[in-house]
Amino acid sequence: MKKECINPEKLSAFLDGELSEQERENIKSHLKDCQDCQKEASELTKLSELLNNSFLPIEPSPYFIARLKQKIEDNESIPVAITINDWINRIKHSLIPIGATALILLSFVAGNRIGNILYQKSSTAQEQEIYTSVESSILNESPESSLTNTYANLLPEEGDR
Amino acid sequence: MENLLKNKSDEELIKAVANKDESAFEILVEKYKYSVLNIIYRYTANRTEAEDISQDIFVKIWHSADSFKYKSKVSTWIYKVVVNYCLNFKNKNKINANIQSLDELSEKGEIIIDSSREHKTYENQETDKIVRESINKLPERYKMVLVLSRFESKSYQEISEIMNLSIPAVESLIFRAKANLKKVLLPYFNKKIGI
Repeated sequence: MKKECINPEKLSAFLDGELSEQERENIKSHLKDCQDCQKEASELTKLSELLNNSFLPIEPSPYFIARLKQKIEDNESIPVAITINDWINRIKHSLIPIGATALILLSFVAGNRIGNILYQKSSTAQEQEIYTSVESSILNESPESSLTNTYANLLPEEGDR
Repeated sequence: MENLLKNKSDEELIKAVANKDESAFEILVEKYKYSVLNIIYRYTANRTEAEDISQDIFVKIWHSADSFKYKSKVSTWIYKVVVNYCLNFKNKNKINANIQSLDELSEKGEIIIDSSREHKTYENQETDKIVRESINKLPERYKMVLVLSRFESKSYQEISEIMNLSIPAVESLIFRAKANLKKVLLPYFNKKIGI
C-alpha cells in the first residue's frame, strides 16, 4: 500500500458509515484514483456482505419469559439459604477462636494451680531442711553444760529422726 | 395496566423494575430479549448457552435495576451488563466449551470445503459454520466489537459507551477484527467461487 493511501482503520470506519463529512469526502476522492485502496475497500465490503448473509439471528424460545420467571424465583430463594448457611458458617468459624481462647485461659488457670501446689510442696521441704540445719548448728555451737546444750543432748541423734 | 406500561419510556420502566414491578420487567424483557439473546448467540456461537446466559443477564437486571444511575440510556446500561457478563464469563472458561474447530469439523465430515457443491442449503450451512468458527476464534474484545457493530448495527459512539473505550480504540478494534476475518475467510471464499 502506498504511503499516501488511506489509513485502513479509517477506510474500515468509512465503510461502516462512520467519520465526519469532511473525512468521508476526502476518502471518496482518494478512492477514485487509488487502486490499492479500491482493492482494500472491495475486500472489506465483500467481508461485510459475507457476515451479513451468515450467522443469522435466532428467535428466543417461546418459554423464555416463563423460564426467566422461574430462574428469578429460584434465585430469590437462594439468599435465605445463604443467610442460614452464612450464620452456621459464622458460628462454626467463631467457635475456633473462642475455643482457642478458652483453652489458653484454662491452661493459665491450671498452670497456676499446679504451680502453686508444686511451690507449696517444695517450699515446705526446703523450709524443713533450713530449720533442721539452723537448729543443729545452734545446738552444736552452744557451750557445754548450758541449758541449750542440755536440751541438745536430750534430742535424738540425726539418724534417729 | 400492562398497556399503560407499554407506552412508558425505558427510564420509567427501569424505575418500576427497581421497585420490583413484574409487569414493567416483563415489558423490558420483551423489548430487549431479542437483542440480548443475539449478541450472546453471536458471541458464544451456541444457541442453548445463549438462551441460558440471556436469562442470567435478565435476572441480574431484575436484581440490580436500582443501581441504574440515569446517566446513560437504559439500552446502553443493558448492553454494558451483557458485555461485562460475556467477557467475565468467558474468562472463567465457561463459554464455548463445546465449539469445534474448523479442522475438527472438516475431519469429522461435518463440513466439506468443496467448490462443486450444488446443494444451496447445505452450502449456506457450511458457510455459516465457517463464519461462526472464524468469529469464534477472534480475541474476545475483537469479537465483541464486531458483534455489536456488524450484527447489532451499533455506532462506534454507542460501542465506545457500552465498552468504556475511546472511539479511536473502537475503530482500531473493529478494523483488526475485520482484518483477521478477511485473512481467514476471503481466501476460502475466493477459492470456493473460483477466483
